[in-house]
This record gives sequence, structure tokens and C-alpha cells, in this order.
Amino acid sequence: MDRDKDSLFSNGLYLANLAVSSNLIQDSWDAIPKFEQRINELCLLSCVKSVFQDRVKIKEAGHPNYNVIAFVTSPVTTGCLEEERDLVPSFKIPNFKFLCSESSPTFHINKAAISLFNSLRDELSQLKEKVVASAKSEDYVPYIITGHCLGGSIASLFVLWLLNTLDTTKGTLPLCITFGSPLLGDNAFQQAVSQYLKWNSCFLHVVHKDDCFPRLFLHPSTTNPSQYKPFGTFLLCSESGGACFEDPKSIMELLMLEIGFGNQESHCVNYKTVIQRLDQRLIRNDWSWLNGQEADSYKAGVTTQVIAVSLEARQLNEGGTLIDKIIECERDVIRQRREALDPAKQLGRMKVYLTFLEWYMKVCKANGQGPGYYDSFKNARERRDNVVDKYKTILSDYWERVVKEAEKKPQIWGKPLRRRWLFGGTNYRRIVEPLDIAEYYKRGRKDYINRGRSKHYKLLEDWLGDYLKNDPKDEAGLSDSKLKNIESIVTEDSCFWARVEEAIQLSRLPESEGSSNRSKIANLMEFEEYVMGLIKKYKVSPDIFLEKSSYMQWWREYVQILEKPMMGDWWREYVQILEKPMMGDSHNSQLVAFMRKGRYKKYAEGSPSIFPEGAKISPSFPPRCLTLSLLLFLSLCICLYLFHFSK
Amino acid sequence: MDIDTGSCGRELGIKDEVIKKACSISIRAHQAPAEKPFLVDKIRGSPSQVVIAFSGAWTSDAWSTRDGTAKAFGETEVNLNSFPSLRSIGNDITAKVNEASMNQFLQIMEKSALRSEMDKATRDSKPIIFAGHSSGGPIAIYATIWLLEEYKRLKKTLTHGPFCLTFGSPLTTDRIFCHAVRREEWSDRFVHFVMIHDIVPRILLAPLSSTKEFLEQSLPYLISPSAHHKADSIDKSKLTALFDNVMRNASCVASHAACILMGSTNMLLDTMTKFVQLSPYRPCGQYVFCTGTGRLVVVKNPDAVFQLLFYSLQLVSESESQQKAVASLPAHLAYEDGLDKNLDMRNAIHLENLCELPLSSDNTMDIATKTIVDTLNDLNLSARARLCLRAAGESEKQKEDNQKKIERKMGMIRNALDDLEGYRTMCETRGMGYFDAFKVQKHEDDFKANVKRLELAGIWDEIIEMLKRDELPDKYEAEKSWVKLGTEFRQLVEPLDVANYYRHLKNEDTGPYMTKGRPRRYKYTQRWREHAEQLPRGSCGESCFWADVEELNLAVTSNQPRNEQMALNVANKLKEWHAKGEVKKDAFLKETALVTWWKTLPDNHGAKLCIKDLIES
Repeated sequence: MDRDKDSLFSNGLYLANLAVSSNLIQDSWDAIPKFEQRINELCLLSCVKSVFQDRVKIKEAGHPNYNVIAFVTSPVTTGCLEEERDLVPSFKIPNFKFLCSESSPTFHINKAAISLFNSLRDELSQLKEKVVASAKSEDYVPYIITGHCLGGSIASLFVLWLLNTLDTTKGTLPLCITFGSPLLGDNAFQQAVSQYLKWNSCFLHVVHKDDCFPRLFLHPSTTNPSQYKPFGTFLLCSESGGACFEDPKSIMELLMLEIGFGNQESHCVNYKTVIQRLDQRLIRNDWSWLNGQEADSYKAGVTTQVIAVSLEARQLNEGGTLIDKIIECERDVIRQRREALDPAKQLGRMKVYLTFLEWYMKVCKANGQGPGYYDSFKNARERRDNVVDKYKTILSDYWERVVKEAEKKPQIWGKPLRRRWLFGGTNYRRIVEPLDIAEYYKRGRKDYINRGRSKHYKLLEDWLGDYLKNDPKDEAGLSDSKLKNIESIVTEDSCFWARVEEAIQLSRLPESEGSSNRSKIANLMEFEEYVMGLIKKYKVSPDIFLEKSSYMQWWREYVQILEKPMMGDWWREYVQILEKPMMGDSHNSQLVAFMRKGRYKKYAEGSPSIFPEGAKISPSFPPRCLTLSLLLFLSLCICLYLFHFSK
Repeated sequence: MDIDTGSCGRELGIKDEVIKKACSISIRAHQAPAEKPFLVDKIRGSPSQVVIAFSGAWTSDAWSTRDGTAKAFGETEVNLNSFPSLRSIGNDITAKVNEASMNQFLQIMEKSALRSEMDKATRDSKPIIFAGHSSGGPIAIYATIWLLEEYKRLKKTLTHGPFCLTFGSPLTTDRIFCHAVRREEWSDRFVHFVMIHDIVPRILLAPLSSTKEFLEQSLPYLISPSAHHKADSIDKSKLTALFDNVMRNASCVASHAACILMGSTNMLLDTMTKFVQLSPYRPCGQYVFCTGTGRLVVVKNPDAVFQLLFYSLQLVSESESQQKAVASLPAHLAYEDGLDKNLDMRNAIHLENLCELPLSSDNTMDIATKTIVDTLNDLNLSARARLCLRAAGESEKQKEDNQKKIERKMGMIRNALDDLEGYRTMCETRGMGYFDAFKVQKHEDDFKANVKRLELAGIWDEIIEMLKRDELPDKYEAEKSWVKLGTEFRQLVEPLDVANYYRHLKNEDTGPYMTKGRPRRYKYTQRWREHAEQLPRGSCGESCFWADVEELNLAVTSNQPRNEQMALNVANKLKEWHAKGEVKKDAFLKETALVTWWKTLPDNHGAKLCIKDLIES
């Protein structure tokens, strides 16, 4: 047989052992107080929702290392539950909207579970507040949320709801342990939960092989095939052992298989004795031998797992194909995970490509003689521009993929990208997007920002914005060293050139009268202010002032308009309309002054004197410091004074 | 192949008589009065050897916690001043040991004649064998490490170096301890004998609070002299409860270790681990398991040993529970007789090739395989236990493969370094230091150097990532060729990283390079060298003085007060490094950032005078 090159192992047995020997399962079960097991009586109960409702109790139990919250429901019969097997679409469940994403816009949750959840909403939101509040405290004790049967469904929904609110970056994850719970949602629901690996890792479903509730919804109903799909990790067990499975397909295979052989009547599994048996098994040798010299450790592992879940020999023989199926499914999961684990290598390569582009920027400047890389790429097609094309394509492919994946599966909780990627992506956006803009306008198209901009640029920009919002750094800090290094500044707004192109097109519009003209002027004014804002904060590369650049082109055309005598009239009219005091008789804004007087030539030198009229940014803290120290001084005086008199 | 009839001694490099002697002295050591914490004896032969056996103590003041802050398993970090090697180098994690036993050792070192006994033996070039039974075991381990550190510090060869033999010693050292010992290649000097039915080696896998009563009251009473017959007097139900408790905890921590060995991708493991208290202790050194059938099984792979400690004590049937629990105490007291018998049977086997262990008995087998199968049966191993051993072997193999993989990249690293060296020379002929040239990025060569820098960073980051995930062999960080290459890489390339950092003004977003921006690839390689050459921590900063220079320059331009201490430090160190050839003369060329800063100093400044000659020559 071919030996597996990856030398994979299957650890379902050991994970199950850990869950049992660590007492997590025992403690969870013990937290669920038992209703009397009066199945006969219960069968008499009708299945209206009210039966479910006032019978849910919430119990809490403390342990040295964790708290347990248990949802206790009265037992139900399979018949009752069967009637509630319908799926409720996500748009009817406002509490779980956050699970929707572009890839799975709608999903479905079991009706019984969600209606029970909704009926408890007030209590649950109080409970949620409590858990969230305690998660913020210093001595946080993590929570286990548990429940049996429908109680487990509530537990799962509650934990999902909690996960959305908790600040999960701190590693304060709750653990959800359910016992014999029916399946909760459909394929899209499973997808939605497992898009966050960590979310999916919070769920452990304990299922006994004879328990019919967990597989109830897997039967095809009278009309349709079943749409339910398991999520999280399943600990399947029998009296003789247990094993964990993670892949939904293999879990379904195993659950379905039991349907074939198992007892379909409502069979009440006593998890207490099951857990006790598992517990005793822990330190006992398991002599389930495998046949022959199995060389493939992975297959051997899965086989022991399946045996542990106690398929009888007869089933195992027929299960030969079953084992192969499971091997395939679970192995795929492992492979995907492993690949996802090491993305840093590619990021390193992308940095190299970006360095090539940085060099290209430098070359296109040609010591002040060139047009800058934007215009070089747009107009003069030289050989080097073709090489740039190649790098640009590689970079765009990579980042489009990263952004797409991050949108679906955030790299860390609540944040689509990790810091290294966010900053790498920002550098990429600032350097490469101008090239996209160049291509766009070269073909004579208009309105890049609204019609041509690729989505991944926009997302990268938004994510950076979110990051800066959450992690406010004093942006105003304009130090001398920044002035010294103007040369290496990359324009912060990656859409700068698109705005320049729009301004050029605007300036070239035929002159007309009336409102369209007014909006033209207003737009140009806005552009002026925008550019000046960037310049003041040194947020724009000095490359824009290269004589052959598009920006200078715009300036020259703009100046001509301004100098036309007719133009002067417009401005006056315009000023009157807008009542802007800063405008004098002739238009003389800050930017115009800055450009006209040639101060821009000094921009690259980083001389702070290029802004007259108090445009220089003064550091914001000294006055505050002064006030503070004054206050301090005063209070000190008062203290001394008081002290003196108290004697 | 004669793997089946070998004597245990030959597998281990120690004579059978020595083992027997050490064992009997270790057990006699318990009889010694309290003021004599160890026994010394000689074994004649060539060379003759000295055996020093410790008794240790399970006394309550040693085990009980002084205050509420103590850990559940009584662990504490070792003192790096006494044991500088006991840490992981790059990751910079200090090893942990059981605090009570370590304190006992430190007391013995301080108050007894142990030092002089050690000195005497070393003077006569007599190898010392440290030995201990039960609670004496951990002390023997620490004494051995202590002497090994001494050898290392004095750069003595280990031909007459110490050995350590323990008998039924509890686990008291953690994963990092084991990693460090294996890295220093001391691992083969530790041999631990374990009767597979003995509960004591596993006892610290359970939280102290649950085993305290037994450890403090019953056990000392049992191992004390003339009490062997009293084993019956222990309450059987209590013993069974203890056995169950220890085994449950052993199962917990062994399952956790197995999941990691098998490369778990299920993140449920991480989530669950946060809810569970796991014992930090792991085996370290070679283990010899003595089976009930008189077989001695030598195992060197620490992960495999750990799994074996759990699985070999598993019950065969439920009814066996009490029986085994009761038997687990006499087993702890039976080392002398048991070993005598087992060693004489010359029935030792070295369990190797773990990846290919048979999972079950089969009829069609050659003799060699049959011996292994019998051994595994004697060890009481089920299929799932054998899978764990396979995983342990596979993980070891995987680590070695990883090292081979990165060793194939050594050539690439070499070439890139040569190219950068060329770049440096070329800058020098242009009359510029390569740090400054790179920072300005004016020529195409600067850009090409940047590409090389990034290529190198990619390769090294991959290596560091592997170290962080523990995917390389323990000895890797002490491999001379890698330490050397790492140092070369750091000295040549880090200035470029500093230049790049300050060129892009990352100091404004994130802070100074040294505290916020220094990549791990340089921190790790610096620690490698400091460890290999036994230099003080942080002393090898020759590759990043540019960062200090940049900060000093920034202080000048922004009119902040000069950091005199830093200035003097940089100047003094520079002089020293230049003398050693670690900082080349291109740093002192006319227009470098260093010289620019130097010129801002007043003439009588200490730092100015210090490197005056260097700059003016």
C-alpha cells in the first residue's frame, strides 16, 4: 500500500481522551440538573411551543478553573421534535445576522431551537451581559456553556451569540459542550460558523451512538432530503470508548450508519453512565487489535477511532469503505489547515516585487528630469514598463486573493488582516494603484473612483482606516526627520492621481454659463483644498511637482483659466454666491499662492518655511502641558498651605 | 544483529556492576542521618569511579507551598546564573523544575561537603556518578547538570565527565529542560530506571494538592530503612484512589502531548487546553523500563518515553485496578532486587525505529520483529499506544528532515552574503559606508542590495518560524556552522535593515528600532552566538550599533538633550568591536551617519576622544 508521504496521524482518540480525563465533560454533565426521567408522561404532552418555553432553566456552577452555565430543558420525544424540524431562514433571525457574509448570504437554523432561543431572549441577553462584563475583569474565569438535547441547542446558539460580542483576541474563549443535541442548522450555517476557525473550535458535541436525537433531522423528511449539517467537533462514543471527528461529511457518514443498524425508537441514552464508563476506560488498556501490519499510521488511527465508537465486526467489514471515506474527508481537512498555517513566506516574496516597483519609481524620476512613474507608465511605453506590468500582475493577483480570503475568513478575530499584512497591503496599494489609474485614464475613461476602482483597494483602505481608528496614533506629529526624508514619501492617498485626472478633465470642460459652471468651480476649489491639505501634512510625494507630471500639466492649464479675464468675472460671481471671505478680488487661494510663488520647488527639500500665514503645524501638547503643570503647581501650593495650618 | 541478547550496560555505555552498585548505594542513602544528605563510594576499575548518592526528602516543608502564589505542580524557573544552559536560546524561555527538589539541591550545595567531594574527584580525573532513588533522583540530576555546566564554563572535555543514574525518580523537569540538555548533548549522561509498575515516576503528573498527603506521610515512611515490610499497612482504598488520580492526570497530559505530536490541526485542542491544568514535567535523558518479565527496554526519544510512562501502567482489565494500585508501591521499593535480576538476564533491547513499530502481533515475522513485538507486549502497549510511539518517532524524523531542508539553502545564503559583501566593497571604493549608501538608495546597486536583503530575510524568517514552532532538532541552535553563518548574516545585513527602518521613518510609527522594530532573525542569531561563546547577554550588539547612532542623530536634529550614557556606550563598544574586526573601517568613512554624529560632539567629550583615532585615520 502506498505510504502516506505527509506522515499524517489522526488524533481523534487522544482529543476525546483529553476531553474526558480533564473532567471537562464530567463537570459539564454534572452541572445539568436532571428532570425526572418520565418519558411516558412526556409523550402525553402536546408539542406546542409553550411546552418548551417556561421549562428552560439556567443553572450555574463554579469550579476552580472555570464556571459552568447549563441550559436545562424538559425532555422531549422524538415525535415532538420531528414536527419542529423546519428550517428558519436567517433573515428572520435578527440576532444572528452577523454570521451572514458574502459567500453565505443566507443560512437556516432549526425552528425548534430558534423559537426556544427567541422565547428566552431577555434572560439570555442578561446572561450575555454578565459573561461579557466578567470577561473584561482582571481575574477572568472562562465559561463552559452546556446543555442536553434542546438545552444543548440553546447552549450552541448562546455561545455563537456570545462569540460575536466577546473580545476574543484576548483568548477568553468560551467552550460549548452539548450532549445528544439535535443538529442545528444547514450547510450554509456550518459554513458560516467554520469560516472562523476559532469559532468552530469552541464547540464539542458529545453524541452516543444509540442516541437518536442528534441524527433525527438527518432522515430525509417525507417531502425533502435532509438539509441539516453538523458543525464543530463531535465526540462520538459508546460504552466502550469514544473518538473525536471534525469533518462534517464524516460525522454525517457515521451518524447515518448508525441509523441503518441502530434503534430508531426513541431511545433514551443515559449520559451519566456513558461518561462514567468512558472515565473508567481512560486508564484501561484498550486491546482492540488491528489486523496485519498496518503501515499507514493515519489509516490505523482512523480505524481505531471507528472501532472505539463501537461498530460491531459485521459493520466494520461493511465499513471498510466507510473508513476509506472518513480517511479521505478528515485528511482533506488537515491538509487545508496546514496550508493555511504558513502564509508568511509568500508575503516575503511580495515584498521583493514591491521593491522592484520602488526602484521603478526612482528610475522614472530620473533625477528630476523624468515624468514620475505615474506618467511614465501612462504615456511612454518603454521596455522597463513592460517588466513593471509583470510585477504588477503578480502583486495584484496575490493581494486580490488575500483580501478576498480575509473578507471571508478574517485572519484574526474582528480584524480581517494581521498587522504585517495590513501594512504590506497598504504599501502595495499606495504604489500599485496609481498604475491601475494610469491604465484606466489612458484608455480615455472617466470617474475611476466610482466606476473603475477594484474592490480590494477599497477594502484595504477601509481596513487601514478601521485599524487607525482603533489604535489612534498621533498623526499630527510632524517631526523634523519627516521633513528630512521627503524624498522617500509615497503619496498616502492611493487615488490621488485619479483626482488629478478628474481635475484635468474638469478644467478642460468647455466654458458655459449657469449652474453647471458653478459646480465646476466648486469642484475645482475642492480639489485645490484637497491638494493643499496633503501638501501641508507632507502626505504627498514630491514626484507630483516634476515638470512633466500630470499634476503640473493640470496646474498649467488651470493657471491659464484663472488668468483669462473672463475667468475673473466668474470667480467674483462665485465668491459672491458662496460668500467666502478668504477670496479677494482675484482668486488667490493657498494652493495658488504656493504654486505661483514657486514654493513647491522647495517642498522636496523639506524646508518648513514653505508655508507662510501660520500654516505651520504647531505641536499640540505644550499648551496642554502648561495648563497641567500650572494646575499641579497650584494644588501643591494649596496642599502646603493647608498642611501648614493643620499644624 | 544481536539486539536481543545485549547487556543493558553496553546499550548505555555504563557497566552493569556500576548500575547495581549505584542502585544499592542510592537505597542505602535513605538510611543516612539527616545531616548527611549523600553517600560517597568508590568503584574500583580503570578508571575507578566515584558514586555520590542522594537521598532527597519528601518532607512536608520541602513540598508544601510557602504562600498562595505557588503553582499547582510546584514548578519554578531555574536560576540562569547557576544553570546558564537551561533555556531555549532563540525563543528565550527558561527551563522549569520542581521548586522543592531544586531548593533541596541548593541547600546541599551550600551546606554540605558536596563541592569538595566533586572537586576531589575531578582533580583525580575520576568520573563521578550521581545517583538517587525516589526523591534522591531529582537531586542527582541537578548535581550532574551543575557539574556539566562547570565543565562547560571551564571548557573541559567530557571524557571524565559526570553521569547520572536514577531509580524510580519522579519527573521534575520540564520540556525546555529536556530541550536544553539535548542541545548540549548531555542527554546520554542521564539514565533513568523505571519499573513499569512503579507509581512514583508518574506522581508529579497530578497536581500536588491531590498527592500531597501520600507524598508527605506514607511515602517517606515506606522508603525509610527497615520499613519495607510495612508496605501492607497502607490503606488499600486510599492507594487505589491515588492510583486512579495519578493515572487520570497522566492520561490527560499524555493525550495532550499526543495530539501535539500528531500535528493536531483541530483548534478545539487549544480552546480546551485553556480550561485544563496540565503538568509541565517531561522526561529528560535515556530511560530504561524494567518490565515484569525481566526485560530492560532502553528508550531515548523523550516524547516516546513520556507516552510510555502513561501507557505501560495502564490496567489490563477493570478488576485489576486495586491489584495494580497495591502493586505500584512495592514496585517502587524493589529496584535493587529487580535490577539485579534483570541485568543478569542480559535481556536489554533498544527501542528504535519508532516510526515503523508494528501495531499488532502477526504470525509471519522474522526474529528481530518478533523480539520487538514481544517487547511491546511486555510493555503492555495497545494499538493506540503504539500509534503514539510512531508519532514520536515521526516527529523526530520530521525535525531532522526540516534541518536537512534548510541546510540545502545554506548555499543560497552564502551567495547572497557574498553579493552583499561585494556591494559593501563597492560602496567603500565610492568613499561611502554601505549603511549610508543604502539609506540614500541612489544607485541601482542599492536597489539590488535591497532585493538581496529581502531574499535573505525570507529564508531566515522561515528558519525562525520553524524554531518557534519547535520544528527543528534540539541541537540545531548549537550547530557551529549555523551559529557562524547566522553571525555573518547578522553582522553584514542588519545594518541594511536599520537603514531601511530609518529611511522609511518606521521609528515614528512604531518607536526606536532596537525596542520595537528589530526583526527576530537578528535577535535569535545574536543569542546563538552569545550562547555558543558564553558571552554575557546582549553583549553582541555589533550588528545594530547603527540604530543607536540613528537615535543619537535624531536627538541632535530635534535638539533633545544628549543621552550621555548612550553616547559613551556606543563609542566604547565601537572601539572594542573594531579592535576585534567585527565592525569594519567603512563605518568611519568621511560621511557616514556615525561621523556626522561624532562631529556634533564637543571636543572634550569622552565619546569623541574614544573613537577619535578611528575616525581620523
